[in-house]
Amino acid sequence: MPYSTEFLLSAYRTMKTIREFEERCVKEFEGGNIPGFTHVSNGQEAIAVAACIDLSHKDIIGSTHRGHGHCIAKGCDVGGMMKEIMGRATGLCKGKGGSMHIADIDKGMLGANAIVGGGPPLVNGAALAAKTLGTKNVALSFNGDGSANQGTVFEAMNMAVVLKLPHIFVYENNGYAEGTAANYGVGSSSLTERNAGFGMPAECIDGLDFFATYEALKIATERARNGGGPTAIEAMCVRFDGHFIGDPQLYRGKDEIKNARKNQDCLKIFRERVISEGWLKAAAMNAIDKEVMVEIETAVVDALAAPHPDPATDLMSDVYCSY
Amino acid sequence: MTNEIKPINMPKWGMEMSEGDINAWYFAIGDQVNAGDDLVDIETSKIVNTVTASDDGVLRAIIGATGETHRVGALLGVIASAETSDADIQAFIDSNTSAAAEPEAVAEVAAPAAAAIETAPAPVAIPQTANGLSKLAEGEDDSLVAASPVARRLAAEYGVNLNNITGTGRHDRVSKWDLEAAVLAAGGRLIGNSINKSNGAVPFGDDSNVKATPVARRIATQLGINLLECRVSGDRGRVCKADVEALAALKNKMPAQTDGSATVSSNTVESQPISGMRKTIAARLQASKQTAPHFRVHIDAEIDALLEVRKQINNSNSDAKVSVNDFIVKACASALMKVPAINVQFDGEQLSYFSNADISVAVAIDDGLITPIVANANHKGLVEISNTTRDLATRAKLGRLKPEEFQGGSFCISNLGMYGIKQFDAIINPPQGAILAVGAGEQRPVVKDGQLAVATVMSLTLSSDHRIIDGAVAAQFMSVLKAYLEQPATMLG
Amino acid sequence: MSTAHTKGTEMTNHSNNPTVGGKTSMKTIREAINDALREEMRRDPTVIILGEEVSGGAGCDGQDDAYGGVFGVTKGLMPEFGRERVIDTPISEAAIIGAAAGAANNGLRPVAELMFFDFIGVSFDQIFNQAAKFRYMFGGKSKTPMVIRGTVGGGWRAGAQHSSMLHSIVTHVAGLKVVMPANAYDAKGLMVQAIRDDDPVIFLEHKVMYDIACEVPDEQYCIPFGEASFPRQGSDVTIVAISNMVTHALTVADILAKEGISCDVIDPRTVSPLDHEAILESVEVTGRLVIIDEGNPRCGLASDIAGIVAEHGFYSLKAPIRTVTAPHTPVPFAPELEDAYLPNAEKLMVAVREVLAAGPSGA
Repeated sequence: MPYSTEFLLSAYRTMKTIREFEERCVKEFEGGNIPGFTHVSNGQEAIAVAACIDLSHKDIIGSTHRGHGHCIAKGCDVGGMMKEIMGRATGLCKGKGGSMHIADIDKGMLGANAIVGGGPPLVNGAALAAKTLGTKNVALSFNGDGSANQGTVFEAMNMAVVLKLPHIFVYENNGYAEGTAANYGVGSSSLTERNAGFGMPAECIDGLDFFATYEALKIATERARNGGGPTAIEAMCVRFDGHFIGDPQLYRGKDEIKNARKNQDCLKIFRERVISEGWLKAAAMNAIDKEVMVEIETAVVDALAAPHPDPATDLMSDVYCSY
Repeated sequence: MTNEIKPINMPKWGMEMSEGDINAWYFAIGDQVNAGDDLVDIETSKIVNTVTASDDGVLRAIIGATGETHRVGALLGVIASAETSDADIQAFIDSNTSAAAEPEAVAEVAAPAAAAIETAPAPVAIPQTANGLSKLAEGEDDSLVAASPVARRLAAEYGVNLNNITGTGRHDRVSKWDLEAAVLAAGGRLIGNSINKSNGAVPFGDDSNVKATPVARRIATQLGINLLECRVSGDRGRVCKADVEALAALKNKMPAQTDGSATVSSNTVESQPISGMRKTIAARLQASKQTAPHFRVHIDAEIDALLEVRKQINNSNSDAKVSVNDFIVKACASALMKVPAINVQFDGEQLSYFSNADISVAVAIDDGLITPIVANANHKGLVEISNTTRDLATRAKLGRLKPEEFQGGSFCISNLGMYGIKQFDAIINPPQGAILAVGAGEQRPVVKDGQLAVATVMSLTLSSDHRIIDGAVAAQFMSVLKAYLEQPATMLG
Repeated sequence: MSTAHTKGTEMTNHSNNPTVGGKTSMKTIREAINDALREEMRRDPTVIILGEEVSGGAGCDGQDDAYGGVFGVTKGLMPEFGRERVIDTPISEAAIIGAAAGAANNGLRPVAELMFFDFIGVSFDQIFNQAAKFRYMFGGKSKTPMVIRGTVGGGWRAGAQHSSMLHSIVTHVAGLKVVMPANAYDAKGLMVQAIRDDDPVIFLEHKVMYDIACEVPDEQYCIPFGEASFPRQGSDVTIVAISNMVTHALTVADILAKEGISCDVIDPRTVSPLDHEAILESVEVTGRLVIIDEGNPRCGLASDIAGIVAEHGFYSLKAPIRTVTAPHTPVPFAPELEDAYLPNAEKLMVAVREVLAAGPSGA
């Protein structure tokens, strides 16, 4: 068996946690418990987990506005995340950041970024620090097919090649940049070919297949860690929900989402694979399902009961270290 | 050189006062005081009042500190010129606080020349004088003490060593204001401008600078009320107790107290907001009464002849229902043509004389009155006036008048005769110049050719705006009007 | 300039003092900043420099360290510290600033350069949405100890896109600190402070001032942020000036001194945090205030200071506040136009005399 049971169970658990967390966010948002904008990544779990499962807390990731999954995959506390998304004082960012700025520096999560393309230049910086300090840590940025077209991303890619930075560029191509098709927004016929043009190894893989994604990322991470510079991995996937919660998604085809949930579910695909290969039993995964539901339910109950920030003390705090 | 040193003593307000609490000083040591300025608020068991300065000078010492209680006549402070030496001031203080005296021998309120002075019972905090300042000058080299450039420069001018000042400025440096506070505390005087209000340290919403009576401030603190939110109706532009209590009542913190004990009454009150129309009437009539100097001219008219003519008209014409008021309208219209000076509007700037008589007739409606206009009444016959008036009144009561039917008019008639009112005075409807108040026609004793007789008499009173109508003109109008009413046939001419 | 400082590795925590310590030598602003950078890089291996041509010659056949910065400020640093710590970058301002911000959150203390501060346009997101906001958005968990050096100012006919004064824009952003030294002594002490500060600092160097020299201590020292210096002191009028405008303020003050009029000339040195207390103290004494700033007038530093004094020092004023700024235009190219655009000593003198003549005279 090429993967340990522990590894497989851990992968499944994390993917399932992301799935249920995101589905619950939709419910809570529609119930009025989440202020502001929220963007969920249900459907894209395999990529997040495949990319982060082997990273340590000292390896850094940067994320997009659709960052809950990346956060969970990187090991951020689910309870703290839910509190943050609900704007509570005991959230990961004391309620000051919210869904779009969710971060945990201690876990190597440099933050979800509400600016499309805002992440890669920062992740370059993390990579530069690792290289300068000789730590052998790597840095990984999650990008969308939309942000792939942002100038800051081009600059970051070129800079990463020029300075040979340990930066893995992961593109989650879910086919839509907000309400515009990826094919429309990316001028070249293939995003991967364009990535290669920057001078780094570039690959396109099936992001619904946890194992294919994991293998590709493993090679890229090793390359980075050993001083081989950046890699670009384009992972094809699907998002089950809209750009934001509440998006009527008029730009998607009829029955497209229903079909995706039925036939393009990376968790289903994972289950089928591990069972058919004889790597895991269904019962073990069912047990995980139950535990995850309890964990999510607890997170929500705790978050709803968590204290709200106090303007008298929390508004003006943490602008500077000292002023 | 002797400069007069003036004491500030605890006054005696009323026979029963024996002592007072010091609530607040309006000046600090070193400030220039002018005669008549409020100096210090004193509170007794009966009142709160303020001692005012009777002289110009500089407040050189404060002996009675805020919060302390002193007997009547006690020395509270000292005013002198800026040049008077600290030693002289101290000597004056010393000589005036050692002698004990009977309360009854105390001088009158705020008398400048102090006679026997009461002993201050408690030890008083006499501020440091020359001793204090010289202490501030001592110390090691202070060139490395953190201080703002202005503070450092001024410290040199004061001769103060920065080691002796606690810094509360940015990065704990000694600020100008730290320096000044220290100088004042040591009994020194400030050089030049020192307006401490401008240090920007007053937080938003801080009401400590709002002028308020001490009692008001105390109650506000107890109730957690910010003085910035209170209306200001106390004397000398201060928030007073009633202002604080009114706001508190509004916030339901406590019921507003009126003077005297709470009354127990079985009277119920139904409150209603004022209607738009009532508001308008209120505003216009108030303005009219306040702006136009009203004077009244009263005449009685015998209307027996008029009543006879009315009967004739109504009997001969089955459609006609001419009222006495219609005759009055006609008579006024005719009189206005004869005395056009009454037929006028005045807006405060311009006089507008009208060629025709547009007569406003006051009509009572629900919760108010309205004055529809009989236009060109001088050209209308009695029946036409009657029909017009009736139509206008009906529609007025239904609220169906067009604006031009009640806005305007050059003269107004108000008739309360149907209520049995003998005589009354009306208020002019601006911008008209005059209004006629008509009472009931009633049987009254009259004197004809020296003999007592009975006639139907009606009292009419013209209120005129004396800015534009003079007595003689008003009198002339009434005389003409009376003639028309008593000899209606002359209106036909 | 004679102000004291603290030496060694400690951050300074005290105000202006009139004594100078240690051995000094005449240094230009350029040399003073170079000093500061070199000594800090020697002391702390996490300090790196990155930007375009900060060394120059990368990948070329000619000289290495061909530039040392286009104004020569970072000359000699790459030869000492290597291209690992003095990094020439491609022309990618967003990537440069972003890398600095990301690296600052991960153990380095980068000093990034924007060759001309006008280039914040193409990198503004990384400054204003990312670096400035991290600490606040992430609930106090992150710190971004980075410095962005940029050149500002007109006078060299460099045209509209190479002559801006943009300190007001970055002052407006909460989370950034903004520093603008006007002499070599301040430049060195403030640069050391900036590198040791844990917040993002925008360090603005006026391009025409690099050759101005004064006595600068050889040792490393810090000047704390938020403390203004008073190169002239007096009690008749307060003149606040920053960066290249300080020269004009001194010219005016010295002329007036001969007429028996004494001026408080205040150089805030740091725009954010601003030493508004020192300004208010001075206005309490003088009652008259003129502010000269090379920036444009709308929402600028001059209006900001005027507003602070009007709100908190109103009762001290004997005359209306006057501001002397550039007009509401981009910087023109033709020499006579640029000269008309820039504030100078003549325009300042007119304003100061107006303010002296207005209102009640005497104390």
